[in-house]
Amino acid sequence: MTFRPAAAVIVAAWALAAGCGGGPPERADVLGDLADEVIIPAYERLAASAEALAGAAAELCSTLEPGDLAAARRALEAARADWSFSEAMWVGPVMERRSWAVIDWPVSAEEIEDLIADAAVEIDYDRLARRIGADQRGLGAVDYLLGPPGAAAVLDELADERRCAYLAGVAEVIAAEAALLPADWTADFESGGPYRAVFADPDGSGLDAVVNDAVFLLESITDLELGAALGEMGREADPSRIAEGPAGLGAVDLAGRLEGLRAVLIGTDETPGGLSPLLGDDLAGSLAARFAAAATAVAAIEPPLLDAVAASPQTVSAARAAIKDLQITVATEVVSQLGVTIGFSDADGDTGA
Amino acid sequence: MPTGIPEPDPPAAPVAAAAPTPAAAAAPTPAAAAAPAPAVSGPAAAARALLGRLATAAKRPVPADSAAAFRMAYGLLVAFGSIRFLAKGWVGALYLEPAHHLTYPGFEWVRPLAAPWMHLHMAALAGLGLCIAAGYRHRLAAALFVVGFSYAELIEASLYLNHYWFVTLAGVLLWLLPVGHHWSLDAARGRVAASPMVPAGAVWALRAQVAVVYGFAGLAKLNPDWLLEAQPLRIWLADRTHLLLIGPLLDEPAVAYLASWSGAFFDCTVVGWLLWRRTRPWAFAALVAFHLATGALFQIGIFPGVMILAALVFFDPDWPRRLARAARARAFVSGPVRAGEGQTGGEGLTGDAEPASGGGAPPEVGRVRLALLGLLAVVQLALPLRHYAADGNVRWTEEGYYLAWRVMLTEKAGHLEYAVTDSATGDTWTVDPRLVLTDWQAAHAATRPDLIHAAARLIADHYRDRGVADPEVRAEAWVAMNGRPARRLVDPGADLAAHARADLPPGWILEP
Repeated sequence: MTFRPAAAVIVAAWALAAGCGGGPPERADVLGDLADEVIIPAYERLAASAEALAGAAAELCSTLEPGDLAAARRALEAARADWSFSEAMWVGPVMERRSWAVIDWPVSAEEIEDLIADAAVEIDYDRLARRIGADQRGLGAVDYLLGPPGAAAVLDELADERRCAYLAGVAEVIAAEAALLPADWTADFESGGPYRAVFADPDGSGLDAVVNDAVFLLESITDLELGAALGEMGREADPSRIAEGPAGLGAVDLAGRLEGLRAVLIGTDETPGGLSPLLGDDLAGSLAARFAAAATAVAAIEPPLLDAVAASPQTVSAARAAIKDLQITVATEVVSQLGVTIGFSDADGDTGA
Repeated sequence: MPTGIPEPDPPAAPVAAAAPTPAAAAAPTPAAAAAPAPAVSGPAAAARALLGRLATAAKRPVPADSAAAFRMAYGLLVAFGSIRFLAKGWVGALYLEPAHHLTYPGFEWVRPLAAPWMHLHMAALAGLGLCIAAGYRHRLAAALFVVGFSYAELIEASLYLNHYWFVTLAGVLLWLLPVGHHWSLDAARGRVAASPMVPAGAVWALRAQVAVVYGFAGLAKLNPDWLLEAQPLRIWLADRTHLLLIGPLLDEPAVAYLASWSGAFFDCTVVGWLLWRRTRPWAFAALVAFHLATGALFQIGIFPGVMILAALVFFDPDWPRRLARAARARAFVSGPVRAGEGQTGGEGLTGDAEPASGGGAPPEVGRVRLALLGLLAVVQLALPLRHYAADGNVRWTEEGYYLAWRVMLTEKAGHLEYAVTDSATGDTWTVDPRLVLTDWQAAHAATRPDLIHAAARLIADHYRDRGVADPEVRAEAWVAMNGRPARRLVDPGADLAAHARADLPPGWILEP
């Protein structure tokens, strides 16, 4: 075998550049860090808060004490906040399992009351987990059954055994579903190994998925919800597009969704990072300013959100404008910087007309 | 009987009189060699003489093999492309499912056929491709294919691709050029006079068609973003780091610069290298590598295959025969040699020798076809240059982009919504373009001003149908280009519904 200096130099140069180059971070590494530092902890927090909610609901049903009602409401708020935070991470298992149909879906009070009133129907875990509609369960159902803050009559209503069993059962179903999600990411998902590996796979579409989710989430907030409720997306205002329960947590949800999105894109104060290593300092800084402006605008909304839409539409509109500003930045600069494909046809393209 | 080719001044010998022998085909014709000097001096006379010599050289018979191979490859590729389009369900997804289509200015009347006729149309295009490949009534097939293909392309402007334009132009050439007299069913059945030769001009025209693509694509790359910022390749390559072996290198800025500069150099010079016999094999190898690499890195469908096969026309006109001969000669190393085979000189793709079987007068090109070829040449030079007449940065405005080989120059992402105002009441509301467009149409429209305007007019129609007599439609369009911060693309004060497609006020597209 003949030693070829030129070939050796080329191989060495390639190895140097590939192995120890000081260039930008690998996308797979960034996605792996995002999963480890943001997404998995978020699902773990959700699982814990959902478990706490189930415990609080069970405790409330066993005591029917005002203190336990207040504790259950606090547990609901915590679970909602964690769920809202995770919305910017709705990729993979949460979508495959359709967990949102179990954990949080706009509810129908009428359907819930019909089920409770129908004594022929046994209220047990199996029925609540598998045999009722998405509009009869989830955090929205818990919110409905716990009623608005300060409503003491709720305790009288919950004295109805079926009603409280419904409350505790729905909370238990939520906790069971939420517990699956961190395990999907860290242990195994559909026999394909931990989803974390799929998400961070260099050949995978984790980046596309998470950025598409961000774009869709912002569009949902600005246009489908706030815009529609304010009447800015059509000739008629449609407040029903905001799904807010008696607890009046719409603005809290909004803030949680934005915090989750911030964590994904540029990280939080506690866990800086997110996708920012791929975005560069300028764009990350621009996003941080927009997130701050949006958070300030949302904080100015006096809850409940639905009341604010009616009583102080200019405040809600200002929040929408701030979030729209963020939406434009993500849909243009972030998408462009990452070369992400947004909901396209797969027809051949030569990229640039 | 007309010669079919304008007489040069001084008159050259008729094409049929040119010796159609291999030796004559390889060397300047006697007529060309003996062309007298201009009778009068001066630039005009010199130009006339030059044109005369050019015309004579263009009429020189050369083997028809490469032109026939071009025809066959083209026919097979477009047939494959049409079948692939059907098989992937794109007829339904791209033509039939959208409730509205984004059209080209002046072609708003073009509509897709209803199912299953649109599917049958695409199948018919595949059939026409096979007819072209087989040389069965190839001119009629090529003409019908161009019409049918153009119809399909005109339906939806957001689907515009430069390689579809290449397919159209090459189809026009195949209609105009006498490339169906060799290796064709028509020749075999006597429908046309068989001839193993074509005028050299036919091969030149095919080469020129390929050269136009590379030349203008290369010219378009000579811009600051491409050369100084390595954009958009920096963005695109960084998204391909998962690729085997080369992946880890692709997010290195130096690699993006290298790819940008070498890509521009390649596009600008490859035709020259292909024309020069000494560099041709290396240039073709580089071309193959270039297109395979771009095919692996980017979603560009059959374009790499189209250009690789088309570039074969730069080899000597008898390259298919030489290739076959070389293959046979190689086989003979271990097999018996039959009498008369493998004994011609000049083997190899770039040799000088002409095929032993050469002979016969090349088919003629009539004056009308010649005039159309000239017109086609002028159009092909004018269209890619028209953007120089436009104001501003055309990579941003996309003025003069269609039919201009401005390929892969920008990475754009856009956000588009409209503000609709009922002028009777003053009510204003926001409208998502997906009110009238599909997701993929809206995604294309978000970065392209002409499509933003087209969609605005569709939205105006939508509200007129619902009782808003005079809707005003203004665009909120933001675009980030080549990694820069997002900027407004169009004037948010311009009522786009008030203007016809070709009648927009100056300045409605904002500067970046």
